Amino acid sequence: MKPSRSWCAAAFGLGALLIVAAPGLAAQQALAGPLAAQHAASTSLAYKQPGCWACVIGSGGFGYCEGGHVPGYYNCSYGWLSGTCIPTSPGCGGGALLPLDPDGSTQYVSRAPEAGVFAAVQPGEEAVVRNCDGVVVARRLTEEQITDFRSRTASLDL
Amino acid sequence: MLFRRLIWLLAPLAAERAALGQSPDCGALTLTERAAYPLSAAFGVSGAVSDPATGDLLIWFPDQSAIRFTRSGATIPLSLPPEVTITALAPGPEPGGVTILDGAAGTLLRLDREGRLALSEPIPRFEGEAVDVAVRVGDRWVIGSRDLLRRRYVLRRLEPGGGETILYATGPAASVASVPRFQLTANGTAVLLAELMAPFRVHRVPLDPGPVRDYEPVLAGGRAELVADTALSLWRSLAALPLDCGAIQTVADLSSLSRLLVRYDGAGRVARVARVEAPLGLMLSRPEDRMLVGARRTGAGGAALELVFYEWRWVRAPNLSSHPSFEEPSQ
Repeated sequence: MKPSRSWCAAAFGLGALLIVAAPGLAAQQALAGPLAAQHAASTSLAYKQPGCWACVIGSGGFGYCEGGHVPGYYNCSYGWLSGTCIPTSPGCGGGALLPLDPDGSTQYVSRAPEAGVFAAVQPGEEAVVRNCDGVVVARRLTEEQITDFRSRTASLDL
Repeated sequence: MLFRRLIWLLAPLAAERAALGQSPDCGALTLTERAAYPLSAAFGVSGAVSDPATGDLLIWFPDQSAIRFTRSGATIPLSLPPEVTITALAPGPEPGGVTILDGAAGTLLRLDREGRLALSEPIPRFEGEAVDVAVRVGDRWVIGSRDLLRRRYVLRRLEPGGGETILYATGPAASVASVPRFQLTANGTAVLLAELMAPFRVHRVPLDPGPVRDYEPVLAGGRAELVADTALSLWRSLAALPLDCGAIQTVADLSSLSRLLVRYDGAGRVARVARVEAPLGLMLSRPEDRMLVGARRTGAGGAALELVFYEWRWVRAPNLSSHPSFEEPSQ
């Protein structure tokens, strides 16, 4: 049983549909929508939403799968015979084991090919494509900025 | 006899005081970039580990692919079994081989130098736990999990012959979502845990019986001012990396280009914090050749990241012999 995969597959599908239907619009929305608040000239943010599944303990003392607890993490399986709940494969947040770029830029755990595709808004309403993937940060760096980073980080005194 | 017994009783107390109150003078640290290589990672790197036998790096990515990055700068894709989820990689056991810990499936896979699956064996799984991180120290694996049933973080040592030992566990969190998470690195015969979110605590946890040591909180002593202009909830810690004297930790603001580079001395005290306005993170250290490996973002697309190799140098050489510390020489 992998309920979160279907949720997130649907979410991804909706996101993909938006992009296929109107790639320019979707891209703009992804960067300009409420979930992707403009934080700085070169940075956009999309915050994670509850969506994936986790094991929680019920009133009877047994673990069971419940959605909405651990955004961006595991699918969950429940063994009816054994009565055990186990987080299984990383689900919609595939690769969520270390949800942080080593450069510190993102809490990225998605397999999406580009930033921001999980954050989208339909015209006229706030239909949120579920972002299972933590904070997605879209960087827009200029060549001058990159040159400047390289120069300023070539030698560091600590 | 009585005198000896007194010494035996007092020695740990003296060592404790020395460890916590007397900081080894590491001197000032200078990092100098020696090389940078573009890395074709669409969005990021999940983890990296050094192969001490060859000097190569093993790097894995969110799409569950992995590469061997050689000393000469060549990139060799690793052939991994399908459906594998990489929690961590480790070199060996045979030269050129790779061991994969798949925490989601609960298996340990060993590949030979040709990438062929040589061995697959189960590792213990625990009800309600999500394996976050793992690192191999010597011949033992250390695994960090979020225990979602008990709402705590647990660090375990897996025994080579089976069985496991809990090395560290947090108290129960208020909710499943607030269970703390940690980055994990090997540090000699211990591991360093770095808390992912504020207050970014660092603990040194020995693999064998011994006390857990807490490093000085990075934002203590008025240093919270360094991040006062930002939302603290959006800062994340990368792994704490052992140096030959002390350790270094990158703390990154997800919402900007700001980074804190935190250097701890050998007693775990904050020796220096530098705020850098550049998308750089330090992800691996090789104390044996005084090399730090970082990732620097250079845009989007096929060459979004650079691997940056820094050589470190102490301006005033550390005098480890005259200053006791709670650290051991790193492997």
